[in-house]
Amino acid sequence: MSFIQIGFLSALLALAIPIIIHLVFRQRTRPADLGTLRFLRVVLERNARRRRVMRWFLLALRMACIALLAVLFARPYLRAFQVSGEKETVVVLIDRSATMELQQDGARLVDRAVAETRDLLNQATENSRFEIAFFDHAVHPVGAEAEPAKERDAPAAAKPAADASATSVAPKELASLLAAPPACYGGTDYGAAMDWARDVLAKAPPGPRKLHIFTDLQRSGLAWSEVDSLQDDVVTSLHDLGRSAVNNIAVVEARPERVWVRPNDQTAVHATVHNGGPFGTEELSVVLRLAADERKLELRERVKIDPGASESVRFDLPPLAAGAWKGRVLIEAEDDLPVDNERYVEILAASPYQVLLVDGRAASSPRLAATYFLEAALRLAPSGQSDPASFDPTHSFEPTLAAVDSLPAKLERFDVVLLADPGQIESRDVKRLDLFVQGGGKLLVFGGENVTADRTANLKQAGLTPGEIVGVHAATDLPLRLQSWDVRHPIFAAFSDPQLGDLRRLSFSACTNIVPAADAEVLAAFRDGKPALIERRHKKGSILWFTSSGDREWSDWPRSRLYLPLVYQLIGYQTGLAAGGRVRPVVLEGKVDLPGDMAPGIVAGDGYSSVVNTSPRESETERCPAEEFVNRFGLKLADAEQAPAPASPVHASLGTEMIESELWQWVALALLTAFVIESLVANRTTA
Amino acid sequence: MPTDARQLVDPAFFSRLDNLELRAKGIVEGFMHGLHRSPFVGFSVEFASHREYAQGDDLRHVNWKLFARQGRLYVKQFDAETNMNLYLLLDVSASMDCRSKGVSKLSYGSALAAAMAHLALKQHDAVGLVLLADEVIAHLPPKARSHQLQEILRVIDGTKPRRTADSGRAFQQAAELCNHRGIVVILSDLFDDLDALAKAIERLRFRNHEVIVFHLWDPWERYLPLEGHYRFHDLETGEVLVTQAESIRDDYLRAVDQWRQELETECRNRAIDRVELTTDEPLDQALLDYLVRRAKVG
Repeated sequence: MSFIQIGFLSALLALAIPIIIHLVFRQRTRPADLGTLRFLRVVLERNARRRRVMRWFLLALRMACIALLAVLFARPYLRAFQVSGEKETVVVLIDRSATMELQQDGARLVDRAVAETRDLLNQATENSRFEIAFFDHAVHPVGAEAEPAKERDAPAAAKPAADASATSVAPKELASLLAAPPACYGGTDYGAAMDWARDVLAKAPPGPRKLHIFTDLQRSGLAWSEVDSLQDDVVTSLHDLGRSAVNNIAVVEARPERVWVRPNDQTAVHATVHNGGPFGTEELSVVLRLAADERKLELRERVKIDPGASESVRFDLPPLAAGAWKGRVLIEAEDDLPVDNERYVEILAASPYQVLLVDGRAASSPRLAATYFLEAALRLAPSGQSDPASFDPTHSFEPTLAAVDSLPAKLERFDVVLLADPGQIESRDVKRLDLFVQGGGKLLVFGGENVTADRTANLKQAGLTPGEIVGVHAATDLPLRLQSWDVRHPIFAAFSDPQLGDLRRLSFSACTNIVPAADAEVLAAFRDGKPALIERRHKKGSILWFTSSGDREWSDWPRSRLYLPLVYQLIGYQTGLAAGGRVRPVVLEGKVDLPGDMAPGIVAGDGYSSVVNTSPRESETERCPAEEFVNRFGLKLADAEQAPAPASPVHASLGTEMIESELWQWVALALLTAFVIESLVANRTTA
Repeated sequence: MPTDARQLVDPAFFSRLDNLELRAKGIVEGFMHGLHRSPFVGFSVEFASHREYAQGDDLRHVNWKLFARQGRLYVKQFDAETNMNLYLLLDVSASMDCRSKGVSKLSYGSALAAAMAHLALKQHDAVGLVLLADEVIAHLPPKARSHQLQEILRVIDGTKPRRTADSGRAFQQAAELCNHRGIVVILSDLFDDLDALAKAIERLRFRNHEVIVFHLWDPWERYLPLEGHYRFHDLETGEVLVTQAESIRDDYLRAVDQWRQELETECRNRAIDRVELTTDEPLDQALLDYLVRRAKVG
């Protein structure tokens, strides 16, 4: 057992205090005259031996209290000794961020890191237990999926795993699984890696714990997040693989003014080129190449950049024909880090989202139509989405009106079909709607007087209702108001701040009473518990039912300032605009919500495409000194730990950090117990 | 003098009175004031008057002839006369000097003796006094003279507690001095050898005396209500014991109770009333016990 604040042990001198008190206070008694001491004598003679024992026991207890108090302040802890049978835990973190693509002595930095890790694994003893992970902006443990990989007979490669607490694999098996990634393009997040290492080491069995970090010490990776220090007994080996000077010219930004334009509209692309090298550049070509199907477009600009400076260029595009114009901005130059020499862009030249408004009520006047306000709302749909560049208020939605008995021939050209107070729909049309939704189309339905069980029977039969339609539910004493909704749902995220509008203010005189199906999800409910908004998946598509009317039949809410944003959110959710639109830029840094290990490029999704680019921070190749890195994460380097020494000498001397093997809790418990026993014994012991 | 006569029997009050005679009179008057229509007033053989029967009156004193004539119950009242000897045996050993509450057992016993003498003399009983320590220190033979009270008070007043090794012997000497049948009132803490004490009392009973033992306690002796470390000093032997009071209190009380039980058994076997008094208790009970025993003898 060792002590952190060993100076406090000098307080053990205070052990003399109870002895002095014991001796002094024994003499300090008050006088009392009694007629006879015969009774006292009897008592004292009878218990003389017991009293003597108790007296010494009490003295010992009091001395123990003081000793424990001194020990408590000295903060004892147990040193970790490697005893027979204990396993050494070695955690290896390998940087696979984009800058690890740099080459030195003919090999990529990441390849060198993997080779050195293999050496570690080959030198491992039977008592060593390895946990290895690659990291960039995320952590990818190696071997976490070793067993499934074997079953599939997959090539031995580093397999990413979401679970950081993966089971350990034997060193030799790990060596066979360990392979450098074919390309590095991720950002650098040291914080995430250290968090993972700390978690793994915390779960490690008793025994020495070591950490090896293979990295290029890129400074931009330090800035991500605050992390807690590693356990104090973890000995770290920092393997600095970085290059001292890097000649890097990078396209750090390529941003279209609008990613979605109408066909034959014009826009521009802004690009920023950064010279991270030590020398200035000559006239440098910056090229924009776009292609839509067979059509191609190439624009070229020339820039001259001083060392450490950035230059912006603008590419004015000609009118773009309809289509998805995909391409990249690149520089025609050779440098040490080619991965950031280009950035991907996509511009969508297409008509806005097509919304078919189907009026279920034949009205004599357009203003009395169930779709009158909905159409107006779509034409006036406001801006304010997550990426303003992806949204043009005059272009995002293009409504088409239709009566319920005369649906357009081709529903496939619409993104969303909106049914307002649908009554009886022809079975043929219901079947077409069914096919439309099954194929990935979205259906949005508003309630009304026409929505009854009888009239919607064929819709129900086709699975286009969210449950059992009971009929019209009219408010009695008080109007219906929205009571609860899922604030995390994309539809209601915009209303999470009450400043933007309180949905409880909307009142309705009636709604369509629907008993939701088991697979339907109630997203919002009225005060009396009746569903207000229900979503249900239907094959590839989905249906969304708002149970009250979209016009003024059951409510005056079309005149409310909440009408427009709520309708917009409903349709935006169904079209995918609320999730980011048809073109969604993604940067590989921080916490990226991407399926799997996505490389830079343009990836097609379900109705949208993701434009994935490396983090511009990766182009900042400036390195930090090893000392800064060590201090930043509170590491204890192996070089300073050649001889066994008390755990965490730095922090221990400061007394600000908690050592895992500290024993103060037990000492405090013992002290408390001693105090209690002392008080009990003292009251029962004759001096 | 206090307006409430009941306060006169309060030891805290009478301890402040220097004059023992004043104390005795005050105590008796306070006590009598509390008795109201007491059946203990006037038990003699010489008829004085009648008074209406009150509950608790002795039926032997009912005038049945008068009841036959008038149909109402009257009891006969008698003038007191000297027909009883009261021997007051007051222990003046050093242990009687214990005074935890300001009133020593000796002071308390002295006041009680004086009060009983005053009460007895008012009823024309003869009162004698014996002061005991290692031996009989002073002795006044029983007399019913009017100035007997002053004699008794003078003797009591002049006495000082003294160390005693064997009070049993003194009790035996005192028994020899109580010649005529009467009531013997012993005022003592009885801290002596139980056998010697029993023999002395045996001798008194042998002479047909009614014996009342007023067993005097100091509150500290009786209950040991102390907290902390004390150096206990034995007033009789000068012995000193140092101990923590609260830690031995339970055992101490058990030892005291055991001794009291033995004492009680010895007294009961000899038909002796033992009345325990602590010096912070009023004197009513003592005087009442005396009168009850007095009535039994009369």
